[in-house]
Amino acid sequence: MDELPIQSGDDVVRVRQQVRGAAAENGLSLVDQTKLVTAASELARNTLVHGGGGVARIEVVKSPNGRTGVKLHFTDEGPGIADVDLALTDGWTSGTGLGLGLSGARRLVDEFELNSKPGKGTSVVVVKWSR
Amino acid sequence: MRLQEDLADELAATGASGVIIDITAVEIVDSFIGRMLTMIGSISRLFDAETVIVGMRPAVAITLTELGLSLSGVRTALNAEKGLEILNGKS
Amino acid sequence: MDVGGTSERMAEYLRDHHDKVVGRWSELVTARVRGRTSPDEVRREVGDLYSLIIRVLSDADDHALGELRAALDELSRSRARDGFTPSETALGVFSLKEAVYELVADTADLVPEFLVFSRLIDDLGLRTFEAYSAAREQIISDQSNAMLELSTPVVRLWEGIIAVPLVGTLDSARTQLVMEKLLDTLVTTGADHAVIDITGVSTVDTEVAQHLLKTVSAARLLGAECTISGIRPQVAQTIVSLGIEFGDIATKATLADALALALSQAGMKVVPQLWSKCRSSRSGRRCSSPFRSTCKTIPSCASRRTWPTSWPPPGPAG
Repeated sequence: MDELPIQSGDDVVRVRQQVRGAAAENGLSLVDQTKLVTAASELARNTLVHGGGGVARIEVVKSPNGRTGVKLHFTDEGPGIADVDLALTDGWTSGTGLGLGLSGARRLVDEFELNSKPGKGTSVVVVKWSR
Repeated sequence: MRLQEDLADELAATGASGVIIDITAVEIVDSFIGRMLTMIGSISRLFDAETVIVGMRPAVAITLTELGLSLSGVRTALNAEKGLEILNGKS
Repeated sequence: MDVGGTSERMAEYLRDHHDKVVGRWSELVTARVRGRTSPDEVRREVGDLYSLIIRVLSDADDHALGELRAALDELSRSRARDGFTPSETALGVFSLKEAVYELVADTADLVPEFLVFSRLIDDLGLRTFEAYSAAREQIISDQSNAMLELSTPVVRLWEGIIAVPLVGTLDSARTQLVMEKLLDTLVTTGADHAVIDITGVSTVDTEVAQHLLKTVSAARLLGAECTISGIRPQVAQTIVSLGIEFGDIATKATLADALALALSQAGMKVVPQLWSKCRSSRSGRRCSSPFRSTCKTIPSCASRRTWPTSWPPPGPAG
């Protein structure tokens, strides 16, 4: 598992590059690679901007029926999200922006798990499988 | 940020009526970049100029559609040539 | 029950009786293959598996189990290729139990060992079945993808106008493929207009409408305008009753109507070609101009009477 710090804009770029590499190496189509990297970019930025910085982990996983996938974990020790359901609704925003970060990212991946509690930080885990 | 400042300066200096942003080399457009593009569109409009984004890659277009990102305030075209046609009022 | 100890005792037993057991196992498997594999080949395969099984039982090293599984998967695949049924392959593995049982039947103190051993062999036999199944699934999946590819053509209708005739169901997998092919074609042809024909789409519900809207949005990002054609009367009713809105996307009943619209948006018009017919000679000759004053078709024609007629010209008798 690769662990990457997210403390600056450059780190976000690095996360994108690493995710792109992992996706390409594990058989994801070009469109799927683009979707995963875009989701990673959204989530990494969220970690940086709303989570006060955090960590990203990239893992290669295998499904029971033999497919390969790329799993990403984004964790931060920030303020957390009070209303998770609201955050995942389309158009929700906590600041400047188009408010699509989380709900948008969810649409781009195959599996999405969000755990957050006010004061306890946030953790987002996503998986994109190769076809 | 830099791009937006430079663009505003250029528009003020030249009085240009159109802006073409070529994103052929852009592999990823997330909501941050989407916001930036929309802002560029707004800045241009303040100078009475129209913005056309050209050269979007298919994978990026598909991802944007899935993301639900609508680039409001900017037109899109396949390439710079068609972008110019739009700006020159052919469409 | 000390599993470790029993397995090791079994491993030792199998080692001691190597030739006898391998021989008997070979025999049993050869009887089943009915000549499709040579006895020597069988003996070799069986011998390799036997050594691996002993290694696994004696817990000699960590790689043994992995190697055994790989060997079985390979055996499964090659047997499947040679036309064996998965049962035949599995039974071949199970017959090792038979071979061993025949020998231990009289030795009562090896019963617990045999049970543990038996469970291992059961797992291995089932594994060959799983491997066979997985291989079939892969074939089905590959064929399914191939079919999806074939049933999603993107055709060039005219200069700058492409069409995507959709047939069958429009689910999210299909939509992804349609979007990819449509957009790639827009890039390679530089087309400004795409017609998505849904005559062949069996059901149009809210989900299908969403897929269509997504496809149109994506095409627009590449500067292409879209028209949806092939709206059948029943489909129209369903769409309205479901409250589906196509917004500013043009929709037409037929591909022909959509083509006409696309052509007019491209600034083109289809007009009938004008012909002239000389009254005296009664021959239909295409004139560069329909007007009498500029007729040049028949230099020696006396009447020089021409008038425009519509395409196609009638035959000599007319």
